[in-house]
Amino acid sequence: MTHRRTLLASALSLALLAAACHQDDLFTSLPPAYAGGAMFTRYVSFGNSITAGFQSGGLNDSLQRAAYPVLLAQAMRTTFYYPSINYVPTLDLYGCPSPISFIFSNPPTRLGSPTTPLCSLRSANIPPYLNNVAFPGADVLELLNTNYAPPQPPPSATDAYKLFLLGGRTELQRAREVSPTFVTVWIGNNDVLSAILDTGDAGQAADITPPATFTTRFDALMDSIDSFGSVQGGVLLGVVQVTGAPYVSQGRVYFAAQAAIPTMTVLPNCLAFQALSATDTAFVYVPFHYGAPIVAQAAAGVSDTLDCSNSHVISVAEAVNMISTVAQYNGAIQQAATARGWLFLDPNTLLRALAADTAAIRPFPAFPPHPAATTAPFGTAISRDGIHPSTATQKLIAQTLQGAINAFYQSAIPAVP
Amino acid sequence: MGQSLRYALFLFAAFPVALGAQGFGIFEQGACAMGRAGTGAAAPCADGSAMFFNPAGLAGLKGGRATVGVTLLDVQGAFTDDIFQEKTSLDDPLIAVPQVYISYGATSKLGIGVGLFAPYGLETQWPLAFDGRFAGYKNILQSVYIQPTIAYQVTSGLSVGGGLDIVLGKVELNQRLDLAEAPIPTALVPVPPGSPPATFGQFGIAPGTDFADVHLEATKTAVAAHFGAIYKVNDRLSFGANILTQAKFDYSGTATFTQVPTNLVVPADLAVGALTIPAGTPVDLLLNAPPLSLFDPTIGVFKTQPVVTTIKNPSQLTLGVAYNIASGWTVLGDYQHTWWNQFNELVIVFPQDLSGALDRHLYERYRNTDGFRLGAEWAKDAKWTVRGGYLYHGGAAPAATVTPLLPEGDRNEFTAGATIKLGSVLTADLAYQYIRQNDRRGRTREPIFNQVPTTGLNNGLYSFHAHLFGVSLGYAF
Repeated sequence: MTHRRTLLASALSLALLAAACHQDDLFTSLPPAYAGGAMFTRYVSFGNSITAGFQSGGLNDSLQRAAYPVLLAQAMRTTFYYPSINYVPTLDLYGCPSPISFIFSNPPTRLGSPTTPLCSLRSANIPPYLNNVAFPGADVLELLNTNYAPPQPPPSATDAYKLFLLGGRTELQRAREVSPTFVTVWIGNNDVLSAILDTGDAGQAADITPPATFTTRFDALMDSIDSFGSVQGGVLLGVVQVTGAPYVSQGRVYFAAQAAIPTMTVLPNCLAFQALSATDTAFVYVPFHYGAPIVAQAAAGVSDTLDCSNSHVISVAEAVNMISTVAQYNGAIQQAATARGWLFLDPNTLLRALAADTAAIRPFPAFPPHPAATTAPFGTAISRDGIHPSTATQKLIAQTLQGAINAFYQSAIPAVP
Repeated sequence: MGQSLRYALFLFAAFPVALGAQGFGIFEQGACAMGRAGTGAAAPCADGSAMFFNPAGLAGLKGGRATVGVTLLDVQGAFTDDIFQEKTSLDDPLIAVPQVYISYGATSKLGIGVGLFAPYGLETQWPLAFDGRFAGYKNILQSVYIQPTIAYQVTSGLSVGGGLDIVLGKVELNQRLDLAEAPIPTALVPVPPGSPPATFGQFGIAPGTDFADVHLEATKTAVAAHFGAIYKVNDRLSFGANILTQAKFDYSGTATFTQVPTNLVVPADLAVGALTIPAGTPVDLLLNAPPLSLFDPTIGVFKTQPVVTTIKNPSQLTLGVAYNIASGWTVLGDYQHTWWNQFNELVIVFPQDLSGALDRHLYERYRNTDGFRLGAEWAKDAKWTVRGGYLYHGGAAPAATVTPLLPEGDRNEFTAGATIKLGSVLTADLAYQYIRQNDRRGRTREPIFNQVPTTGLNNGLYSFHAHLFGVSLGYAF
């Protein structure tokens, strides 16, 4: 080869090299760089108000960013978008709705002023997709595709969230857009929770999704998630035993409280209970919306009586049905997890541990003038609505999930910050 | 010029796609020059393409020549998004870009001719599922130059030439509108003074919810000029310079809007200011009923209406050198500078929309580019001439302006070609060109409310390469 040809060949080679350079490093999204991190490249959380970050009867960005999926995603070091709702106190925007600041008024006092909008808009920075597809009020039926066979979910006050958070699509539809590699599914609490919130006949079976129906719907949900074809793993969280929520108090606690409130009479039928196992007992349960006005009236010096045979009180039989139903839900959820080789996590273990500390979950609300009546009327683990976890508990859930996922999938998700 | 003739010319010129030069420039204006990487400012090909590469090259012609050529473009491009690593490919068809040159040596020193070529234009077609559809899924920019040309040999070494370009311009933009980004009248949802209006996205509408299809189309004729000079130092060495001036198009056309069903339903009673929208209301009905009435043909924001914009085809300068080594070998080198900074902002105005909500302000902020071309040619014998070349261009679009409309970047290109003399009066040229554009980060969306884009909007990688095949037939008379 002549010198001229050598030069020509060299120049051509350099030019071809430059031309052939494919710049893989130009992509910004890479799998998280720790053991097993690839599974968490795109994480989607299904769920209801707890997963959405709802606290104290309200939802806003400051609460949403404290939700366990957001914290878990931060630990996973994966991009995670949620439908942020404006929380800008300087503009009189506190959320949708604004969270409760004091629950012992009628109606409960909420953050902001009387002119505060009932519902502040979503943040102007609209994310390209959603990783947290949960919305308050969701039960298992509402997660399914809209073309799922009837019945469609009945109208609900929380239906506005279907538009406001999900743009009129279902959780499954929004999740499918993300092609998730990992999911958490925490659904079913609302299939039984309505029974304790029912202001007409608390605890009635009509408010509860029958276990067989729940199982069918949950299996359909999981089949839909399977159909994504992208999910490598997940966690199915069990349903909470809602009778453990401090929104309901055991009748015996009211009975004990009458000693401190002479004008309040609590009938002995409030002491009824039924042992379910060596560690579990069903009691009579008094919902906050029924018991609190009685306490308030008596504390004001007006005699009042709590009769636990009233339909506003959850009877032992109704409690047994609720507890049994949740156990059957959880059996179905665990079975679905096992069938897929996924992790099942029972949140009741964590909640029972919290309940052992009466400052964390109060057996009886801290009525005024108790100093905790404003800050933590239902305990530090629960927000001011008596049902939804507080910020501290959301963090605890995220930490529990991080540890359980690492143990189950041999991954190395860093600690939840 | 009659409307029918104008459209006939557009049809004839087909739909060029931005290729061998940067921005939306096209340099493949003849198979002969294409084979040697577009070099020719100092020694244009004899096929009449001098009218584009350097008008001075027409001086000294003997007799007449007519050349008809076509360049076939097989364009392959794609966008791969960061998150899902999903690749969306361009839908561009095989495109034909023709050229016509008729030249004649009126005297031994005076050459005249007329040429038709398209040095600026683009076409990008993306599938409707592509996220970039909201920036534009079918974008066409055409500029057909008709150039009467004259050249004169001033001295034995110096020739000069020039032409007047009548430029037929056409622009077409097709895009979808995303309901999530659509503003809500402040009368319905008041906002603090100075704040942008609320959007439907703030009511939860998901990004990527198509609700309107927009078609903008406009035509305009502009005028530009072309000048060139060639200085032959001796029989072997020559230098050339070529300038094509800016063509400015003040386009005026029509915008048409078609509603695209979202099939969404309001799931619960929704209070928006004083307006309560009942549960079950179809969102599509809501958009097309008072107080919004977006698509009402007489009062709707999206009624068919005029649209105006200004686009400039930038000036370009080429400096070239050619050297005849020996034994039929000639090497050529060209440097090209294009003033792409003249393509700074693209403002699309809807004069009848007094609110200004429809107006689009696209910040292109192109940078001037430099291109370097190297070519070599070997006249094997009286029948065969073979040639090859290489060229490199920098990208005109800054990092914040790599969009579906024109996802361009630095390019390396390789060419080869041949001339075959088919007979005493017929000549054929063949050429092949491979274009390899460096992968480049870019975005699929324009910023809302006409904000200035940043690289923070970039959400994936554009890749691009193309195969070009040129063929032309020349007839001497």
